[in-house]
Amino acid sequence: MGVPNVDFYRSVKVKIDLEHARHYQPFHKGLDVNFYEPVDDNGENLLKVKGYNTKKINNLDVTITAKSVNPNPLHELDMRDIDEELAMMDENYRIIQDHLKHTDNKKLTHFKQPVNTLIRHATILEHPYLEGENDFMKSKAKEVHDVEIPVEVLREQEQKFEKRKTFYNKSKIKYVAKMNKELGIKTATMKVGYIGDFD
Amino acid sequence: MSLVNLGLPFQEGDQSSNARRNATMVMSGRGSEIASIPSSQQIPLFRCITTESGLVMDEIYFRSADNLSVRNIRRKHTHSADTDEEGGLFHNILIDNPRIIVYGQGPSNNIEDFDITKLGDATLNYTPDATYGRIITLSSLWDLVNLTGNYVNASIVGQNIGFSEKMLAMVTIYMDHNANQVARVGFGMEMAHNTIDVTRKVGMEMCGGTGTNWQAVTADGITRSTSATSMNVAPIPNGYKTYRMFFNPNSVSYKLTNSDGVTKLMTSTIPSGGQIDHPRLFRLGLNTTNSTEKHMWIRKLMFIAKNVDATWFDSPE
Repeated sequence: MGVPNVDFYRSVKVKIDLEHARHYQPFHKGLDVNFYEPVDDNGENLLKVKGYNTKKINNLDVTITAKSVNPNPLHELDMRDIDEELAMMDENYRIIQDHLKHTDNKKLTHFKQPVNTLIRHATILEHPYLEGENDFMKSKAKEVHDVEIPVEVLREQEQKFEKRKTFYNKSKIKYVAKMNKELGIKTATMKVGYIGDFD
Repeated sequence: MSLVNLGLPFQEGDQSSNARRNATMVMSGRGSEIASIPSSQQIPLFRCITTESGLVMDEIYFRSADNLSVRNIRRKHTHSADTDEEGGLFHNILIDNPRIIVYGQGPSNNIEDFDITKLGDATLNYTPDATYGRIITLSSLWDLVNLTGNYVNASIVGQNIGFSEKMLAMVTIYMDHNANQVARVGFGMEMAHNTIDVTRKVGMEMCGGTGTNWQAVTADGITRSTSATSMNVAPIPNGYKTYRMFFNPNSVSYKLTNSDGVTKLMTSTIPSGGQIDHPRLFRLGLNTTNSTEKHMWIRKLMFIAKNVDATWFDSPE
């Protein structure tokens, strides 16, 4: 049945300074990266220690997250993508501790909220991604409500779907356009809901 | 075709021969090597491969016309004169970039700049502060009669801003609670009392369902994504935090950083082109969902973006 809904995550300690962490760009698009605040052994934020030379900070904890459900199929990622990203990170910076636990860092995101809500996608239910094998997600979408979307935006997206026919079963979005006199543009009322929260 | 052989190929650092140096148009060398080249060896350009002796790796240096010094081709300039060395006047830069929007460069913000949407007894006021000066306070109260939150939203409105160029916002805020409320801050965000929409946006939000941390938010027009951060909305000990939001269309990413040193990067559903229509250029909103009054204190908001209003001009002429 379609794409399973799984949030993937892995937390590691990496030998990286603040400057490189701030400029880090993941090779795999669709991954989200969270570098945690630099702390000493007592959990004190080193940026707040008066007189501390922040250039001395040479390791940071990081969590990389991915989700198997994404309306952009190119961003539908799993643990292998995280592993590959970490392999590249290891090559460039060196990972010094793998699989961080709550005892290593109390702020790890996956201990702060339900794992299946680390990444959430709300999208129009007429999205081509939700056709075919992913059709079941429409009926399982949560917090479904109407949203008015400019027709121009829908047309732009249709052009993108047309270019990515390999990934989508269709490129057209079904909508009824009407003139929004307040905004002076044509809009369509579409149903929007969270997908992939069905576990 | 004839080739003039200047000797065997030589490697980086093999710069000892005077004949080779004189035959070299561009020399690659360590900083110390470049700095110690005598003026009699008239190499005009240098590529520095190691930071040494005051020269910096990956910079290109040239020898001055009097042969006495080596200078970086990228010289520090402050646009103080209309010359090549100064990169033209700063005035020229502004004249040629009339679409740039720089909001809030002063030490504090003006409450009249915000469009206020609120319900009932909710307020948006100045709070005098001896240390920080003019603080803008959003107060969301519970309506005991209708059993609903009295929301308050402060929005910067005006000309449309576009996702075709980078956007940067920095905002210093203090929140007194991290639960039982909806708070939203960012470019193109929804009002705090409204259900989510998919209009293009980059920002952050918190609501009860996803815990006590901020969630980074992006939307590309038809899909809206949220991603967990490790930034507590009201950590202990609490205090003013500065949040930096950087949308970069070149790397197709959105980065949320705070003054505690947390960096959160999102690469999914990043807006591609398009614009944010007023009245929601940049918004801060708060809505309580229980009987406790909630506050958001705004010490300073600044953002830089591009005005894409069709009636505006691209250039001075």
